[in-house]
Amino acid sequence: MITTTIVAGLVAAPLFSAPVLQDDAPSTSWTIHADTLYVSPGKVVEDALIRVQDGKILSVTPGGSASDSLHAVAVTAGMIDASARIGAEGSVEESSEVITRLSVLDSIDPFDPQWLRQARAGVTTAHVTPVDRNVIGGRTAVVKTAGKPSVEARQLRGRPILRGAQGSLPSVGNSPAFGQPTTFFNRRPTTRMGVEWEWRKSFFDAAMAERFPEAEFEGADVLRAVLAGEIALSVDAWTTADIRTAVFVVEEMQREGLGTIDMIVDSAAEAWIEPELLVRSKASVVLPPHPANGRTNDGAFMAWKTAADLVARGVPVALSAHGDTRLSGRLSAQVAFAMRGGLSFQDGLAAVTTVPAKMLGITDRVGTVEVGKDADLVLWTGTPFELTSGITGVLVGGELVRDPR
Amino acid sequence: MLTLTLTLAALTAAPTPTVADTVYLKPDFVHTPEGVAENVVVVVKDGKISALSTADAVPASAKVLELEGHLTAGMIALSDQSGMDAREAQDTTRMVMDGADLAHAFTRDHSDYDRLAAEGITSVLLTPPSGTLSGGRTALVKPGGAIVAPRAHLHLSFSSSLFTRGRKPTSYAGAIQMLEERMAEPKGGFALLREGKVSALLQADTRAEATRAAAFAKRHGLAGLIYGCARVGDLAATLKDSGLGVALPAWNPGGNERIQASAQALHKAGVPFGFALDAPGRHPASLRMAAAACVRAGMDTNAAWNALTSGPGSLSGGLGRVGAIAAGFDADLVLWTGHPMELTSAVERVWIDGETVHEADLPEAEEGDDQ
Repeated sequence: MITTTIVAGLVAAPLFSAPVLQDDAPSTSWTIHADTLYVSPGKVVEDALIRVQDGKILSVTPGGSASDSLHAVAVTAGMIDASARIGAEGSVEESSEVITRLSVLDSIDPFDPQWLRQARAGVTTAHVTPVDRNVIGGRTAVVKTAGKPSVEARQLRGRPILRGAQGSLPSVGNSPAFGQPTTFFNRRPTTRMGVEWEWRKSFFDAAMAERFPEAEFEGADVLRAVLAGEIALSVDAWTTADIRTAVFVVEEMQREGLGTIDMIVDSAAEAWIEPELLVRSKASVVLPPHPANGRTNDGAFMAWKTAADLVARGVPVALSAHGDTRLSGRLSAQVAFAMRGGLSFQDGLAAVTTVPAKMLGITDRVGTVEVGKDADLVLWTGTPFELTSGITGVLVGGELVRDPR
Repeated sequence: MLTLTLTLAALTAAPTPTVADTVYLKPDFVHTPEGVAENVVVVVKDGKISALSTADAVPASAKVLELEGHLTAGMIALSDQSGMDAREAQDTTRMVMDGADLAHAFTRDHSDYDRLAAEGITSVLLTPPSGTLSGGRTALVKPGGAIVAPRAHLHLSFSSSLFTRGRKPTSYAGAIQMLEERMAEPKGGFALLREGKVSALLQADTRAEATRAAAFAKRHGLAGLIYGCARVGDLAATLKDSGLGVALPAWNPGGNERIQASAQALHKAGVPFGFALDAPGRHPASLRMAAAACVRAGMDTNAAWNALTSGPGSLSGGLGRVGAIAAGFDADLVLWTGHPMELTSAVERVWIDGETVHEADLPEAEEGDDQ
């Protein structure tokens, strides 16, 4: 285990008052004593005292304990699920194959009890994507899993991300019209090939519309912003064939001089088959939850070693649990499974904290236990992610959503 | 307990009052929005309540109806489909019908209305069935045919019930975008809404939907009410801030207990509210039961009664006309055998616009007939 003793916060801690409850609002000020604090991947403080005030980390000091503090064997930053797939029912506008202007934010239900289950399982930040039923399905959102029941209050303003999908999902429910089309499901595509064609056509048309204004269409500006790298692109692609297609589309746009797309490949279960594709495309990767028997969506096979292989090649890898909060499938268990496949503890911690934070553009708020960051903390009974360890406490924005006492 | 003899004697002695006559109603108890009062005479003229008086102030020559029991304003249901053929109240070929008026789907002499009157309900707000983004404009109507407000609200849905496979929109974001586009139109139903000439009936089933509806109303400065969410009480502070009222979902035996908790929260926060009935799908008796269940859950009796009368009176488009026994209001009155919040109390007689529309065939009345 890496034990770099550092003083993460040299702030001379002012006289710290014990948590005071104001009105009926939950307290967001605490002192936490950790036998081992994982400040960030590779940075560990033994016997650490973490002071939290008004939902932010005020100081982190080694040694000592306070009589009024919460205690845990180990403390990590709150986990970030890079593909949470919850709280977005009714989020996909299927009236068109390519939806660029709408955001999943309008569909998030902050009252959904799933959020609390996520928070109590240690996931404090979630990347929510539109349901993958379109080729391009709209903008994604990053939200805290607890706090005031308001989407605005929970939203983290990271970098903008447009969501789309390769593979079979965008053509689910589509069927060719016989005679007169009766619904918009009588639309292309009905195949992977059709999906790929829609991707290429959308970007090509958007780029051309810049030269020929009469060809402008709704949402073309968003696609041009993706080509310009101002908006990142998250693409759902499970099989190696679909990952190839996603990479080839990005490469084609670059080759044709239309732009350089900043891509995140989500659900890249078969990334282990041709990892060099992802290295070459400089894409980031989000892996889906480990399946029970190897096979996942679209018949893709996910190997234990997938995360370890990619990380060894320098590909940024985030893990996801797709909303599962059961002990056997939650995000902390996904880290355990990836470690079973050869991933180091340090890279495992990074895959649910610093890597997704960077991927989503929210490193100023979350991902590490450093002074000034949001007080999103997970308190463990033992070494984090080990299946023998449990989560005893969770703070989201300083608010105790799981009480260790 | 009942001395109907006297009452009926008085009724038989007096010819049926016509709207032109001034009638002095002298019940044991009169319910006003402020509470229950004794020794009050309700003066009815031309179908309206012209004044509230006391017994000693009544002229000697006046026609006085001595009434045994409690006299209240008639109840108002904030969402209803009585007297409408459901197929005639919704055009399934389009998602937005901002120019459609529910008043045109209303059958004046439908037998549904006799059942409403028999339960003491004298006004209902006709609303479109769910399933459209905007199903048209509501109408506040009375059993017997009077239309109090022909275009009370424009219906806007934020509910997932409007998502039908194969038709735009299929998502919350898509629905809100469509509504935003329509709000920008220079004329039509949405322009009237924007200009404040019609208020909004915002359909929302969940708290998240209600939050989006309230945000939409705030964005466009809309007045009106949110309808359909049983747990809307959790948003009481937001709603108080928005100025919107609430139509709690229809209640029925075995129904959602969260409705009562919401009613309490709204009452405490000072948000005006009433109840939907959604007859003929639900029995008209359930409207009074909805408020009685709130009393059982701890709500002040008068507040619960006001949620059936003065509260919906102001939210339904009938402000100053229906929902209260007060000078200037329509003479929509109900005589009960006891306090209306006690379910053992029965409707004895119902007036709409000063005219008797219902008289109960109570067992005691048959004995009284002998005299």
